[in-house]
Amino acid sequence: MNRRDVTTDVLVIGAGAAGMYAAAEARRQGARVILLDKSMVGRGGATIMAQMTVAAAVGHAEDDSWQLHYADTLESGRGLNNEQLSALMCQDGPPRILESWERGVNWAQNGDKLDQVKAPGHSRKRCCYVGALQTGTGVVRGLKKELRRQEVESHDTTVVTDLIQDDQGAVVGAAALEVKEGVQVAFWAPSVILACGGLTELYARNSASVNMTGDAYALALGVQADLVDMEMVQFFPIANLAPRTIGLDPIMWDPFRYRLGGKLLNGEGEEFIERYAGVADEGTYTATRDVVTYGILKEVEEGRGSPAGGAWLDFTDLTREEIRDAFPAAYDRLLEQGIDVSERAVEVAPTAHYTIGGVRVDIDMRTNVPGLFAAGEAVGGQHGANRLSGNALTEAFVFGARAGEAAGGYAVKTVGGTPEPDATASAAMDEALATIAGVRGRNHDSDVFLPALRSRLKDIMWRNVGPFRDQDRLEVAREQIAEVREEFETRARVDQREAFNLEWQEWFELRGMLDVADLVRTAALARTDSRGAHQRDDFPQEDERLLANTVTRRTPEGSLDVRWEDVVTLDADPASWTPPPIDTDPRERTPR
Amino acid sequence: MKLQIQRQDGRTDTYEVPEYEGMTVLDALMWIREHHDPSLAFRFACRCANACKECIAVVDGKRQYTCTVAAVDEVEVAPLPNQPLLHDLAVDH
Ligand SMILES: Cc1cc2nc3c(=O)[nH]c(=O)nc-3n(C[C@H](O)[C@H](O)[C@H](O)COP(=O)(O)OP(=O)(O)OC[C@H]3O[C@@H](n4cnc5c(N)ncnc54)[C@H](O)[C@@H]3O)c2cc1C
Ligand code: FES
Repeated sequence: MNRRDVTTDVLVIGAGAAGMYAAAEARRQGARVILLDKSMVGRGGATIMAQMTVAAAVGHAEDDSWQLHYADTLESGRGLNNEQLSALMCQDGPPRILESWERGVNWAQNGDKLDQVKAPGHSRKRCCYVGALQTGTGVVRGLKKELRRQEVESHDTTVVTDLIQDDQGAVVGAAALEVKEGVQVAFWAPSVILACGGLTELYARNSASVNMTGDAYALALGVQADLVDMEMVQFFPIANLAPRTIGLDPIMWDPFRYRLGGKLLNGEGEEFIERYAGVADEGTYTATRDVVTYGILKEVEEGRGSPAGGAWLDFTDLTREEIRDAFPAAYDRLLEQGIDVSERAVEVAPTAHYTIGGVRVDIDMRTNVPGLFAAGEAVGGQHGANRLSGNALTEAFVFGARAGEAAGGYAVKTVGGTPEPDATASAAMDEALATIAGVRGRNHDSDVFLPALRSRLKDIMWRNVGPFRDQDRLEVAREQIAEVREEFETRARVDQREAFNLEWQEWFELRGMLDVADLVRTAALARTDSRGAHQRDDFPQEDERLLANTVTRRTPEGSLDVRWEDVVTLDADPASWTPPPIDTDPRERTPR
Repeated sequence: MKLQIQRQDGRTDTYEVPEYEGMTVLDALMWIREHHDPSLAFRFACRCANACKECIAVVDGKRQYTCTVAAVDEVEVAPLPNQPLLHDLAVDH
């Protein structure tokens, strides 16, 4: 076996905005840090793809306060928000935006202030952005500068397959495959932060990257960490459907609509959102994402869809000049591809866009498993049943920073360095690395290909555990997921070579995706009402009795246990609330 | 359409890929992995937004992002020449 052992204080898994922020803050605590990504640092996740805005009540464009942002966030969340996490996100958002500005994120300015615009669901102009559709790239560039300044060690093309626990149940490391050369790596660290992003790649139609396979949730399941509201997946309503565009963000119609209005029409040319939102859309674009998603799919289901199975988005009331003035680069790129949006409507349809549920953490980003922290999209609770536009990057900054500080403090002050792994941890690591080694070349002459199995699973999820759900579909999904799992376990082909063997990585990704598919399905079955992003055709109303969070954990026997937990409240007047200081000395190291 | 891919050790493989409107070279490469040869190696992440810049290769003699080039008629793909080669089209960049 080609094995390497690496020791550090804080291991950050995933190098999007959350992971990069966490790594920098953990360094500030004096901790040694390793930042890992299965793709390339800063490039492989959703962060670099974000083109629009980041919401924070900096108050540069108009009077604003974090409490107003918090009120908007709770309203959108329909009663399911973890109020402490929502408050933390809104309260700490403005200082993080300003800090990231100092550190090198080139936020768009208006004089010496930040330019802030209004986005759907926000009652104030509080959304910051970088250049023309450059927010994600600008954020990555700025945060990378900080990583260099803090001399953070990073490893790319390295996929974590398992978390390792000691005799006490504390996480003390992670097993990984370095894909470039095919090395099995044992990472040892008293603090591990899951910043692996979301699970959108579980769905046939999705807007994010190929790497969003839900690894944070699979890794959390593996160590009996709690996951909250996993049924809550956000579907973005108006992703590009037809004609197919090349080299453009599939969700770029969002800023178009936001700036230009335009009309959303069904196959019969009627505006239809009013039927679902209760208010006319009229180009003002005020209906929230879950309502629009639901509306489009309902129209399609009732035979009033556009030809390719979505809705029409129509800017033809605007002149070429008006559109080009607002989006010169995108307009010209579309024109090169023969698409003149001042002349023709385009077709749009929902796509899996963001994971609202996630790893359950306390206000210091600690999970119920000692040594294990989480941050960013991987975390659940802060958005309740629906995420507001612009709140995801805020959460990545704020939770990343908090996790880095808490994990750094825990490693340096509480644990005090990297203890020798005990016998339990050593054995678990040996086993995990042996599994990695054993997968290479598995069934190498089989004709069952991992990319094809993965597509099958994604279709099953889209059809049965997607924007529309009911008991029958969720039961069908149970059987079909089990069939894919059976083929995966017995016949999936993995190439024999060591260097850059994508199948070797994909075997672990699909193993996790199958577990996470079951997880989402199980939580969706448990929530027998419709609320926000979770829409059950057989339970179309909100049920007051279900104003609580689903919390799922894998039992030691391997089944999924769903329980209901009361929503976490702020228990304070937001006007005077401040986050408690980070508890860097949680003495108990036993599982909570 | 026809895709010619420069593989490991300078070997060239040619594939017939069923076309659809708007298909990119990256889509064609992914189709080959799903239907014919999952061992084919190349880098990609965002697939159509042209954000991650991981999919760069030499397409018809020019450095281009495979997710931005239309897959029509005949296309040749090779790895970037001046970077350490990992496998097939994947380089360490
Ligand atoms: C097209 C698009 C547009 C968006 N626009 C906006 C916007 O305008 N405003 C906004 O606020 N939000 C937006 N979002 C959402 C927002 O971008 C994400 O929620 C946020 O960037 C997530 O950051 P993160 O750091 O948690 O995860 P990511 O940026 O997704 O990073 C996670 C990283 O973890 C790595 N990883 C995963 N598993 C493993 C593993 N097992 N081992 C090692 N590494 C692993 C991945 O390769 C990836 O690089 C958008 C999302 C998309 C897809
Ligand atoms: S796949 Fe991301 S730029 Fe081509």
